[in-house]
Amino acid sequence: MVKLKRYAGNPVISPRSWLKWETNGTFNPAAVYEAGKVHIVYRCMSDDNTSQLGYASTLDGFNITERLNEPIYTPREDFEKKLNPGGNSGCEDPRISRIGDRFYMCYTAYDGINPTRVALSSISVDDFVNKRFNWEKPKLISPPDTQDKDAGLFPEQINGKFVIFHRLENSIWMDFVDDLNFEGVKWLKGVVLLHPREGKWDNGRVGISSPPVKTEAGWILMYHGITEPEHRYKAGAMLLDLENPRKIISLLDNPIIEPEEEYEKIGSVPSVVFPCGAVIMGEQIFVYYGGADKVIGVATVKIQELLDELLSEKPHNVNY
Amino acid sequence: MLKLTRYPHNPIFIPEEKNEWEKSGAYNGCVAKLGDSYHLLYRALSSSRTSVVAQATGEDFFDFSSREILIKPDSDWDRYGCEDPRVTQIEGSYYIFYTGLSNQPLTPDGIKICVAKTTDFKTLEKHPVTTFNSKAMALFPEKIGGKYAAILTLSTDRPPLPAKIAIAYFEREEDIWSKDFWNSWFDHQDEFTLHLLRDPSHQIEVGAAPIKTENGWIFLYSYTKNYYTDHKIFGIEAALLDLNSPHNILGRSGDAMLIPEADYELYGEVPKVVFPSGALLDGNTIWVYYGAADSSICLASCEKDLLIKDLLLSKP
Repeated sequence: MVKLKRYAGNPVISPRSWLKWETNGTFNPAAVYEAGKVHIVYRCMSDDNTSQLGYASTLDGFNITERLNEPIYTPREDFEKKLNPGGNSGCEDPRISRIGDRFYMCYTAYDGINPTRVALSSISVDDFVNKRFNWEKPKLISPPDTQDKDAGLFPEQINGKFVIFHRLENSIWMDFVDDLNFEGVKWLKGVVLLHPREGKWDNGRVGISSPPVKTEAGWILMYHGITEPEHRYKAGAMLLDLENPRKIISLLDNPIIEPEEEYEKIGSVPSVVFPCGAVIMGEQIFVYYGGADKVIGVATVKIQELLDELLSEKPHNVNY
Repeated sequence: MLKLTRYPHNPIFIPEEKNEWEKSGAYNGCVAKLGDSYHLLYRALSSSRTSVVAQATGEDFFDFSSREILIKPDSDWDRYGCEDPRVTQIEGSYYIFYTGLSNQPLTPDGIKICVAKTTDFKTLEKHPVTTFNSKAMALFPEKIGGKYAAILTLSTDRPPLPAKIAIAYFEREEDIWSKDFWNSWFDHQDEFTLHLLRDPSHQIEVGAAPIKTENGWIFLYSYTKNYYTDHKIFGIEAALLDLNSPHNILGRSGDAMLIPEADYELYGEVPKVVFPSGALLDGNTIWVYYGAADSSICLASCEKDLLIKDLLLSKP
């Protein structure tokens, strides 16, 4: 069974107590590889439980070489400003994908009262790597009055359409849209890619981890699943067809990572591994994940090893 | 095996968020007394990740305010950073040894010991000290056999060569920053080396300036297991050194007296680090200053007599 291999120096990022904006947690990081390094955009929890995004980078994927002392993205719109003092709110769990010369970031926007919704912003690659954080005004892209989370944009257009994953109810959905101009008229919906699997480790709820990574054999999509009734967050992997990513070529039977280390079991929320970023460097995929909603770890897997395992699975029995 | 007890109000010192020059960390501290006030010297890491030596003052040894930069990277030999001070008062002067970074990109030859001498913590006389890769030097608080004595760490950054802790004796103050002295000392380093490594996969570094007791010098140092792997375990250990010839070890720790366990040691700029950098004797209590997670300054203590007894149990 293929498993992600944890970096022994984990956690690689943990909260710095004196910075109010991240004192309660640094977790659930997006990651992109650009200009010779991995850029990590992580969720931080402030002393008043507001989520915003911090930034760190690493040259080798493991050792953090740079970490900023100010958040790079803070709540800015009414839909993510705190309506419930002391409660959680803000910009959560980013996923970043590059299309053309822009990075697109989906995140969970929460005002503390209304159901969480998916917001989309973007930034030019040039601005981002030069730390000019000129984010485009974010827009809500998921329907009103409906809890929606865990969204990420496919890193390529498929047949001229943009593909967006998101989580509605307990399932991974994907939608194909002509453009990204959500102006408060149209909303994400689409089709279900994966439901929770009864009797398996992901019986509780499923949502994507990071946007998929491309290989010759197909798109590798990692996802998180909750095991109930223990309520443990784990992650698994599936392979999607290169041309028609609605088609699951195969789906691993077992999780590729689950809470085992102390920093994954003990924190703000117990027993959580929650990847939001994955990048390819050399022959490996580097996966960045939140541990127990408190710290960030990195784990790796050889692409070939993961593909071999995926391709040896029985064909997935759900096809659209 | 004796363990250190954490001070209940740890950390005693954290970065002041509004100071850009210490916003990424305020750690690895040591103290000296001037008049009625205590000076805390520490390593401050800026937002752009340059280290300076900063100071704060207090009326007691665990509560400090009035922060300011003390040693700036403004000389050829420390222009890329001033790290990890160790201060000792001897005969009316304070000698602050620190690690100076002199090249970029950094190579082992760019990591050497420097000193700043002061009498008032305002004006400084700076010198480069060693001529080879080395760090973490501290002067003994008294002359030994009429000579200045110091303890230092060499080859700190040349893996797989293990770091060594050794003693240097100086006839005259100028020898401390004499190239000739150090070149000659380097050739004879084996005579002055303290054999503290239990395994070549471990790493040691000088922690605090030695403390005098009637049984010998108490010397606290950093001891890291599995140093060359990602499974590093940082620890604080101690040795008892002969009063008249401190390169002789009378007793030592068999294992760590403190390892990262508290939240403030597990979370921060570099998680899971405890690093001793200063110590003082207050009555019968030894107080150890240590950096936690390369972020903050903490205190832990033990009783002097118990420590000595414990160290003597495990002969070198």
